[in-house]
Amino acid sequence: MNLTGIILTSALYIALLFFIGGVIGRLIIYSEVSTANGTHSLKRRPLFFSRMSSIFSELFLLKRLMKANPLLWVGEWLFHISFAFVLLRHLRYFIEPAPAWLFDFDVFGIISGFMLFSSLVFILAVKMFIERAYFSSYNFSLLALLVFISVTGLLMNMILKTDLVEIKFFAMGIATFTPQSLPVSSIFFTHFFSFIIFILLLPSHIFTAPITILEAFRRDEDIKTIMHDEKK
Amino acid sequence: MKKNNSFTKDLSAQQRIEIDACTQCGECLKCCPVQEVTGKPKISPPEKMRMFREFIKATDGMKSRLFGQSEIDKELLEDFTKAVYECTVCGACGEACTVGIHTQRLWPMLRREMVKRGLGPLGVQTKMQEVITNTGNPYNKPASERFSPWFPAHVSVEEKAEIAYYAGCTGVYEAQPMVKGDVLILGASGVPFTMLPPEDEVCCGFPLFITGQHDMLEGLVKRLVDAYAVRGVKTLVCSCPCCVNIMARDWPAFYGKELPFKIRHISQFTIDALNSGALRFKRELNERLIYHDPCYLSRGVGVIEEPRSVLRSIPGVELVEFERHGMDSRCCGSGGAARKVFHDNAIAMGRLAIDEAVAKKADRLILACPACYAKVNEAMSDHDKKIKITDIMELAAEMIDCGER
Repeated sequence: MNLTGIILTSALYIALLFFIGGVIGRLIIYSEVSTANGTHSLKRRPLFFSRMSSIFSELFLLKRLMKANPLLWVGEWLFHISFAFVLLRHLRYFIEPAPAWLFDFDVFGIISGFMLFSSLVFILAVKMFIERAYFSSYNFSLLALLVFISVTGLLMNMILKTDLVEIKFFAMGIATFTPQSLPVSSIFFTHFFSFIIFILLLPSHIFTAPITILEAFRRDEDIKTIMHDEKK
Repeated sequence: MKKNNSFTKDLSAQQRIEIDACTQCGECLKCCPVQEVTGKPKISPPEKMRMFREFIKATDGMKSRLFGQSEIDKELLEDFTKAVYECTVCGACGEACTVGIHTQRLWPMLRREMVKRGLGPLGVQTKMQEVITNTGNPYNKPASERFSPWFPAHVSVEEKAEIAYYAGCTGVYEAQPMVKGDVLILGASGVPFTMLPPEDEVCCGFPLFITGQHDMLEGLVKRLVDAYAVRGVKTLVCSCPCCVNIMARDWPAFYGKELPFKIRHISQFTIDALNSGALRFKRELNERLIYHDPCYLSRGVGVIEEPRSVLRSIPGVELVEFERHGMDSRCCGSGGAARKVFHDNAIAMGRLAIDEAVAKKADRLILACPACYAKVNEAMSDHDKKIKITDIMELAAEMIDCGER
């Protein structure tokens, strides 16, 4: 094993620890529930299974975004889907032996890689040239970094071929806490290093959006009962 | 253990999550009325979220827990205070929010944090508690003038009844044609109703709630609820959307238990009376009407169809809609108790409503909120576009021909 491999593997662990620490910190803040807040007196209606399809479309189809901005929704939805598939495709580096379905999925995974890049560029273009009312430099940095990571990933796959066996060894080293040598490839180094930066920049509250989306769905249901008798 | 200067101590878990969930996408800016008239992204919803997150980080973040809380930039606190009080709390940003943050409820809670730190409220809002304590209303008007200038002499009020009417401070002091219309409709329906004497019909608490001044709320709510309970009230009818909102949503929490009566908006009472035949429109109105949804009635408590049904029941009426209506309605400028402090913003917003109503070739702009009524009328003076402005119950009473107009 080489020193760069150890340093980069450790850097990833540290980045992940920071992220997980941040998530735990958030959970602590959320758990300190106030008793003094006398404002949420509405009776809540339970979420029935019959509403599951609606809940699914709220979360999976990002319905609120679709209503707010259909153009951006196209980019965001493709981004989320393709990102999930790209991550799924990366699983084969961390599992030994990798299940056969992961290899069957390979072509689709590559298509997702292109889709990821295209959707990110599309989102950036919409944000930069069409929706210019509000600009978050933080969001822009994250998007730009994701574009860079996807470009380096595609380059590795299509042009600057990198030894997959070396990558697998390195990835398995990460997964089993036994750091291995970094593959001899500057494009892989760039890809991996950018990913560490991404983890460091990733907000620890990234998982809160589904909670608020679900709550908004319940709120839209509950509002019908505030001033109206429920139909029997 | 939470320290005293924690910024999250009095927020619910859901509200803490909401503050984090903002993705800073900026979609809300497109429907924020304050943005429409000021064009200042620095006071926009995502900026308020960003600033408040800084406060939480300084007092409740992991670093502050391990190494002690850090000083918060005073300028940032003042910027936030101005931004959160310049907001009309209409909740349009929450309706447009891509992650569904309930801003109509969140902003008042964040205002409360500023009140706790002595930074809020602003301007005339600071005198509100004292004025309500002294006079029972936020307008510093004597109780003797609450009903007498407008109350129709021929309408009788019972000592006890299952239906009670709460007129509300803004209606009685700033939008008298509206409350007069309410009472005429109630009287014409033939349903016995009761009211509290003027000195007992105190503020519902909404102006205090919305400006983050919550200390007096419990006392006001208990006083009102108990007074209605003694009169045997089963349904409390009110026309002011702000009053209706706090009554339906927050009174039970401040009262400490479920209310002994239902809360209903006057448009709900009216459509029921029309459907049952207790009321009937006798006149025809061959006009094109445009109805403006009050934020706290539509987004607040979901009363959207009933006012429209009342208007459609008037023979001859053609009803047109604003581009943004129902749950997406645009604030008229008087929300959030901001109209008395950020007067120019409120006037500019009111004129947007007038301009659109005129552009839609409406003969009359129909309002259903006393604050909207007062502000949009004010916005029209010195404005180049004119339209007839009428409250929905004022119009309904006229069409029913209640004997006095």
